[in-house]
Amino acid sequence: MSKHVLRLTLLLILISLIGVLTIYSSTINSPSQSERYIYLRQFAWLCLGFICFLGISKIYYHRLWDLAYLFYALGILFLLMVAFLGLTRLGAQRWIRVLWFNFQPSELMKLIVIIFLARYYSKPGPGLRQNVGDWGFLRAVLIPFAYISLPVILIMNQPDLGTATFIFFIFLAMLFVARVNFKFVASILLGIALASPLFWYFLKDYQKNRLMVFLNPNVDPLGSGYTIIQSKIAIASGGLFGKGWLAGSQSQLHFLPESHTDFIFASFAEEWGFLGVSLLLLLYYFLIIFVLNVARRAPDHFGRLLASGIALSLVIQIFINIAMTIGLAPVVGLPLPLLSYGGSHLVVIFLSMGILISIEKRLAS
Amino acid sequence: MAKIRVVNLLIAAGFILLWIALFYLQIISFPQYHQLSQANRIRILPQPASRGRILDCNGNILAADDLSYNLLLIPESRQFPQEQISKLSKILSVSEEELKQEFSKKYTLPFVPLLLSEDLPLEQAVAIGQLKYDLPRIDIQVVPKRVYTLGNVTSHILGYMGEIDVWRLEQLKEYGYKVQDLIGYSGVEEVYDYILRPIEGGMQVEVDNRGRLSRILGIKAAKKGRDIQLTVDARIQKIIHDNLKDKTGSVVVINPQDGELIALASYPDFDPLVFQKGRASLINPLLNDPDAPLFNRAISGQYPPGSVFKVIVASAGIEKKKIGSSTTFICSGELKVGNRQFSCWGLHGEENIRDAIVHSCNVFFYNLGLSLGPQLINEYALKFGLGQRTGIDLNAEATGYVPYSLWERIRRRRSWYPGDTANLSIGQGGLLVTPLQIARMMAVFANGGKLIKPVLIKSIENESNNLEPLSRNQSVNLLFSKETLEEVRKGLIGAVRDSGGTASVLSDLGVSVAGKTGSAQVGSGRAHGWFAGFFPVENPKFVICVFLEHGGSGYYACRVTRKIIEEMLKEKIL
Repeated sequence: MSKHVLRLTLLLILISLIGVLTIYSSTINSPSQSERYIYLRQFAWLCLGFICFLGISKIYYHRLWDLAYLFYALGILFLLMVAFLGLTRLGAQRWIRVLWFNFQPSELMKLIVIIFLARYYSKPGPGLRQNVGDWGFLRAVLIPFAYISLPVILIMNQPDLGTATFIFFIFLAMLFVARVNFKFVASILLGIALASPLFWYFLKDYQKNRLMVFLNPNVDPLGSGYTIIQSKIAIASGGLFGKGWLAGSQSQLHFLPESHTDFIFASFAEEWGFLGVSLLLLLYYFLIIFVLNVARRAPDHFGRLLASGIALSLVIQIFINIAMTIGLAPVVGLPLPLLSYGGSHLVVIFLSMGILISIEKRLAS
Repeated sequence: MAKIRVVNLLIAAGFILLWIALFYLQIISFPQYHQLSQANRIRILPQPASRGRILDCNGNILAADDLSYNLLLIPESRQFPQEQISKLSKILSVSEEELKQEFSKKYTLPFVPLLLSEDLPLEQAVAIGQLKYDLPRIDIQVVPKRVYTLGNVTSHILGYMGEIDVWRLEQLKEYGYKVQDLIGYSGVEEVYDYILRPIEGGMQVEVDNRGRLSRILGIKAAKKGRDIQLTVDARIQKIIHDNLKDKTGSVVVINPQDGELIALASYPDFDPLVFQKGRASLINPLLNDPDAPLFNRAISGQYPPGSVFKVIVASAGIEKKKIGSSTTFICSGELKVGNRQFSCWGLHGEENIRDAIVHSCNVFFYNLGLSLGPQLINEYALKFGLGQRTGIDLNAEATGYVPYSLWERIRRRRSWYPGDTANLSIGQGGLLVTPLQIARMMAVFANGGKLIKPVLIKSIENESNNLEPLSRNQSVNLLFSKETLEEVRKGLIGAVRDSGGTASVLSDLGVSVAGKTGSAQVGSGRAHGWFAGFFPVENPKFVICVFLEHGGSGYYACRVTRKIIEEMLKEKIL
């Protein structure tokens, strides 16, 4: 194992263990018996993720180029299965039952979209370049947009506006890194801006509510604004040193909802304070820098697009999640990578990191 | 590659932005959010305790706390649910319409409890308590209520309880007084509030998001207020109150030996409970009544004493050897002082000091007063405690006023004439006293020359819950000669015993009484009627001062005194 790989592995394990510790703290006093032991499940997922990580890092990433459309088709199939046979939890139908665990295909779709777009905008092999800059609007934007729209619509229907929007953001980011004619990208952004009133019309009431509450949490302090207010209280009352592990009153006494999933950052910040938070941000920053370094030095265009997509997907999720917990972004259901409770999410991150190692290996050799 | 560098920069900038935002929240805004977080998890459950009782000298309860049941409603919205209205209306036997009105009047915000009905009868409180599971937003609040055993009878001694006002709150905040606290107003309730007041306890608990108890952080035990025993005798208090009823004025009874205040009444009086209910419709009439029922005439009222004052002039005359026991003046019904005729109310002929007191002869005292001069009269009036507060443990005591020639000249820019001295000699001419001062003055002749300090508190409960007597002996010996006291006493006894005495109406009681009447002329209206005396003469236990505002004359005050003593005899108090 090279020095780079070792460093990444350590980073991943460190952040994930912080996640397990935080999940332990915010669920061990839960009123529901079954929730008290989910830190063990998370640990199991972590082990599984690590195996996937090692496994996929052995595979030459060009195999992904070959299989991209198959993955895409599988991803769509899973999403359709969710739509027809999925489990409904918390008002959303996002999971399918696989053997003894619940699987969330939309998490996997995040990675598949990256692989698919990297495949679409590149040719495999060193020195082979797709000259995307010369492509017309149809080929550069509309066709991939059609491909992306299918899973986005399926995910929106679950409903999971956060993930759907997120995938759309990945698409925009990939347009940018794939060097699609900049005029096209600009015109799309303009189009979105013009069409946004229409989107408002399509939003469900609770989604509109969330956006309103983002603008001013105090419009509904006991309803939709409650979470964001409690999250801010949790984070800010942590102060410099935090209240200590297992001693965060906001999470321990359940004032903070979703304290082990979407709002796990608030639990962490409450108990570990500004020092802990600074350390966590630093770890994330190292992780991103590592991924971007791989992207910069990738041996071919496909590898570069793949690594860039993975880096941006991490960055966007980290930013939106943390910004949401401190009231700088609307509340959308995006997990904090490696920290939030969730098996599918964790395994998918480890898979993408495995892909990264595979690219890194080609660099070394 | 420029593009990657841009991306790198953007990401670094994003992380720094998040870091700054978190710094702002966790470091700069920490104190504010720390408070919010504490407010989330910590609840203080107050534990009320009862206020100290007020007892009379025999241990009878005059004031004590009782439980009162209030109906609280926690509204979810401006709408009063019909189900609640109909059930409550049945139990409270109040019309639905009235309940609705009360609700909309008191509604402020959702989930802010509103007091729908106060002081429910126990049966209604229990009936509503049983509905708790049907009507979860309704609560019966148990709060202490002050109960006054004798009601109006003791209102001027005890005062009343009311919600703390802004001014008092400002003054007393440091001592733990809070908004909406009940606090004593006037009387013992006010003066000894710091002793009677319970020390509120509380439990500091940690709760979870549903308000369920997670753990107890601390307990501070509540402590009941300390009891106070007064020198007041409830039986006598009741007697004097009942006999004063419907006459404006006051009656004061004190023990001449140690100054204990045995009874004090002032009429009109008031119902102390009115203030606890806090209804303006009941309080405003009390405040606006021209007869001022809240005004304690016994200590705050200042009136000319009239002839009662003559005992002071008499004492000064004998002490200063202006007269002896056999010195006489001739009363021809009037006396010319300067160029004005000063009249007497009768024609008494030749009178010595004893007879002059017995008959309350004005001419005798004009002569005596003129020979003493205003300076000495003033000096002796002050010796007897006039013109200054007696120092009783009640607020709003008035000083009264003793005219002083020099003072009149400087302050009022008017000259002092012998006529002023003549007027002063018979207790007129700007002289003002309180009924309590007169009782204290009279006590000097009952106890052999001591000026006592009236006291109201017999004992106070100590830490070990025993009533601990207050040590006090604050009487001042005025060092009068035996002759002075004896001569005045003779006159006071004669005023009752002699058939021509001004207070002879008190002569045929089963107990020997001595005293002096007074009829004080006032600018408009009938004269004030006074009687100040003591009994039994052989061994004086009581000094009484009856004052009737515009009561006509001292005769009427004597009649009130007679009834009081008769009833005291009937009750076998004497």
